[in-house]
Parts: sequence; C-alpha cells; structure tokens
Amino acid sequence: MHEMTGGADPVLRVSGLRKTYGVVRAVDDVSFTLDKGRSLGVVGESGSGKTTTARIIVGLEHADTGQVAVAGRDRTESRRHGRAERLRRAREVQMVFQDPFLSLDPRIPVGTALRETLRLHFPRRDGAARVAELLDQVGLGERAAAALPRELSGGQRQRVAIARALAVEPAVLVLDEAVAALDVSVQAQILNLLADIREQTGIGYLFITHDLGVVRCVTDDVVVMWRGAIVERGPTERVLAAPEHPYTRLLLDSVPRPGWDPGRVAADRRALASTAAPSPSSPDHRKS
Amino acid sequence: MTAAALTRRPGLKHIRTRRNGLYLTCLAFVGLVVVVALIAPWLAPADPNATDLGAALTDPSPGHPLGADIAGRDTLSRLLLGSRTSLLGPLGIVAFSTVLGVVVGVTAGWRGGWIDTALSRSSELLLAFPGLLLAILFVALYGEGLLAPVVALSLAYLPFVSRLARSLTLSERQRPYLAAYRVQGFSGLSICVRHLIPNIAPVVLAQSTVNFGYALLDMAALSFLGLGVPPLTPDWGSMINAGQTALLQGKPLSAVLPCVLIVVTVVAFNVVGEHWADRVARRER
Repeated sequence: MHEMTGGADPVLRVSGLRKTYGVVRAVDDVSFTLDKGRSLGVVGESGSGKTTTARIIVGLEHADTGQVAVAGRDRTESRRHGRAERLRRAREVQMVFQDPFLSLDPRIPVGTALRETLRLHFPRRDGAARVAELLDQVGLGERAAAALPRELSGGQRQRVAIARALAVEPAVLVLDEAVAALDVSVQAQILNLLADIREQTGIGYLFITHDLGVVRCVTDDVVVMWRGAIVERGPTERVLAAPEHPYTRLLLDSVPRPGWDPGRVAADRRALASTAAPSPSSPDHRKS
Repeated sequence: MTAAALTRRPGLKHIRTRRNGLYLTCLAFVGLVVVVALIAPWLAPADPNATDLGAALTDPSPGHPLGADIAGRDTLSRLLLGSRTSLLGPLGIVAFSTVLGVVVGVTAGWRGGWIDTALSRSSELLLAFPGLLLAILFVALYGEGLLAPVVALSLAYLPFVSRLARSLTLSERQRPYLAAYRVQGFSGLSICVRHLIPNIAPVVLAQSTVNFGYALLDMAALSFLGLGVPPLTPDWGSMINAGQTALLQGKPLSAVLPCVLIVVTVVAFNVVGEHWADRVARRER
C-alpha cells in the first residue's frame, strides 16, 4: 500500500471534519480515506479527538463542518429520520465499542440480540440459520445463543458485539478501542478473528486505538492524531519504523520496553507541548 | 445512581435491611389481602348490606364474629368485601400514574430540549396541587364514583413517577448499549420500548409499590369524607366514617378494625416496595 489518498473509489471518505466543544477544538480539519477491504488505524492518546471522529463517522455526533461519505454517498448532510434512511446508514457503518459489557443490553440473551438486528435489516431471511452462522463466524458455539452477556467472559462478549455489527453487513466497521478492555492473550485472539473476518468478507476496518501494538498487527495504513488534528499519515510499517512527526516519535517512545526512560519521555512531551500549540487549550480537558 | 432517586429514610434502615423477617411478613400480608379481595364474596358470612337491627352495636357473637355496626351490618363481611374497593382504587391510581408517568418521564429524558422543559414544568405544576384537593375538585365536577378520584389522584401521583423515570432515563441513555442500538439502525421508539423501559422498570415498579400504600391512604381519606365510593359499597374508609357513632357508643370494633387494616396494609406495601427498591439498587452496583 502506497499512497493513502489512493484508490479510485474509497469506501469511506472523511473530509474536513471539525467539531468544537466550547473553545476546545476536539476535531480539527480531519480528512482521510479508507479503500475497500483495507484497514486504517487512527492513533492518538486520550483527548486526541479520535473517539469523537469515530462517533461522527457512525452518526452518534454531528460535525460542525466537513463530510463523511461511504461509497460516495454523503452521510453528514442527511438529517432525515425515515426508516429506510436509518437502515441504509446502519448498513454503511457499524461500530464495536470499547467495553463489551456496557455495549450489550444486560437483559437480552445473545441469540435474541442477534435475531433482533437481523429482523430489522433482513426481515425475509431465515434468522435462526444466520444467527448460527454469525456465532460460528466469531468463534462462538451455538450454545452461546442462550447466554446472557453477564454469563460470558470479556472476550466472548466482544465476539458477540462483533457478530452483532457483522449481522448488519456493513461496508465499514469502526472499532473504537475494541480490544483495550481485554486481557493481552484475549486481545490477540480477537485481533486474529478480525483479520480472518476481513479476509472472508472484504469489509473495511477503521481501528481507533492508542495501542501501537494493535496498529502494527492489524492495520495497513495509519493516521496519527494529536490535539484534534492529523499530524502524520502513511503506511503503518513506514510510520512505525520511521516516524516523521515529533508526536509520533513520542508515542513510540512512550511504550514501555527494556531500557525505557520515562523521565526523558516526559521531558520530550513538555518540549512538544511548548513548541507547537495548535490548540487554544490543553488536551487534558478534551472529551475523548 | 438509581438509589438516590428513591426516598431514603435512614431511621428505618435497620428494620428494613437487617430483619428479613419483617419483609417476608409484609409480603405474606400483602399476598393475603390481595387473595382475600379476590375471593371475598365467597368468604363473607353475610350480605354486607343486610341490616340486622337486633344485632346493631353488639359485641362479637357466633352470628357476627366481629360484631355489627350501628345499622346492624356484619362487620366481618363489610371488611372482607371492603378490601375490594379499598384495593381497586389504589390499583387504578398506580396503574394509570405508572404508565403515564413512564411515558412522560422517558419522553422527557430521551428527547431532551424543549420537550423535556415542557413536560417537566407541567408535571411540576401538577406537583403544586395537593392530591386530595384535586380529587375533591374532580368529584365535585364529575360526581361520585370511583373513576373521578382515581383519575385525579393518578394525575397527582404522575409527577413522582415521571420525575423518577426521567432521571433514570437520563442516566441510562449515557450507557453505550443504547448508542449501540442507535448505530444498528433501531428507531428511538423501539429502543425505548424494548430496551430502556425494561431496564429501568424494576426501580419504577418498586416506587409504584410504595405509591400504592400512599394512594390507599388517600382513597381511604376520600371515602371517609364520603367522596370516594358510592354509598352502600363497603369500603374501609367509609366504614370508619360510619363507625364514628359506634365509637361514641362504646362499641368501637366496627370503626377501629378498618383503621387497623388500612394502617397495616399501607405499612406492608411500603415495606415490600422499599425492600424491592433496595434490592434493585444493590444489584445495580
């Protein structure tokens, strides 16, 4: 993968997104594209605006200005609330949330939750067969269908959340820190699962994460966000191997490893904050 | 977070939480009252309106196990059948106010903005009216019968339910599972009906159980004033009214027994309701 502006028809095109909360610019002129079947990482610390960007893309927040287009169709303009429009938007982009325990209704068994979604989107199809298929696709047995979310482990719950998102058959899947709440070994399983699913379905991934290890594993390209703006972009390998922006270097240095010096990282951070200050207020006050 | 929405009475905490026996006793009593109300016509030994003037103001006897009132009507039969009207009124009030209150509260909390302002302010306006006065006004306007006071008291109890439902909705809508359903393409209405309301229902129902006790008290007060139920219908409140003379004549049973029943039933409903609320609040944490 070479140039990010690349392909003829990107499945997701985000251009010029801006969102301010009061005086804080949470998202500041963010643009990127995601080609069909590719995986794009959005990296940054908490408060960098990456989650706000994700929420604008799925439609949970409205951008002040800017566009989000899926397969060439703009989805920021339309404020119509019709059923067909709602379903169409849902089939464009689905989202997997950070904490699977909070993103599933505690009262609803797994199978029922999946059937609910299937009935909404594909009322004519055989729900039961598709539920079994989806559970199988995310590596859960059919027995899981009867379980309530609290009877499942964190990794299993996240598999359910992924299955529910896939049930809609979206063009793009936004994963907002989707493995951050899981144990490291479970993280690896979920990341492998996601890689397999992408291979099978050709769905596009937008990985929102602070974890550079995750980015290295599962993304083709990466954009680095700092204080609401994109400071660096490029193929993942290149960015991680030879970061150009001081903030990217700082992120890479912040990962603990042998010979790691937290004091130096803190000093670099202060230097970065004083040299370049594109935002009127400190990132700590931002909603992430 | 939900616990804060419910009335706490710290003094009663030890009775409520430590001694589970009290809860079980109250639950059993509530169950008993409900069952009795359901099968009262088959239990009652005599026609509650049959006047046996020879037995008027007598002490308990084999013919009248709890004595008879000043008109010679059998106290036990009137108590048994009176439980029907005494429970039916509050049941209507609780049902109306819960359904309407949840609709108003959830709509206000979910939609926010001017709809929230309009609904919240108008339910606060209702709160400013004393419930009993509103009921008396309705009876004056629409005549006697159970319906007018039930509607009036439902309106009086509505703000309590709607305020609770609104605050629960506000805290619940922050939770990602509701956002997840929105992303999935479900409409706001179906998310509220299928997911939000079932998740806040336990707390609301616990509060409604507590309201039941208060509504029973209000209805009894109304029928004591002769406004609640049509004449001749046996009812605990109107029994107390009719028993005033009996009290003065030194045969207090026909007035005191309905008083005791009202107090015990109200307390039982409150204990059960608060226990449920406590249990829900504990589970949430």
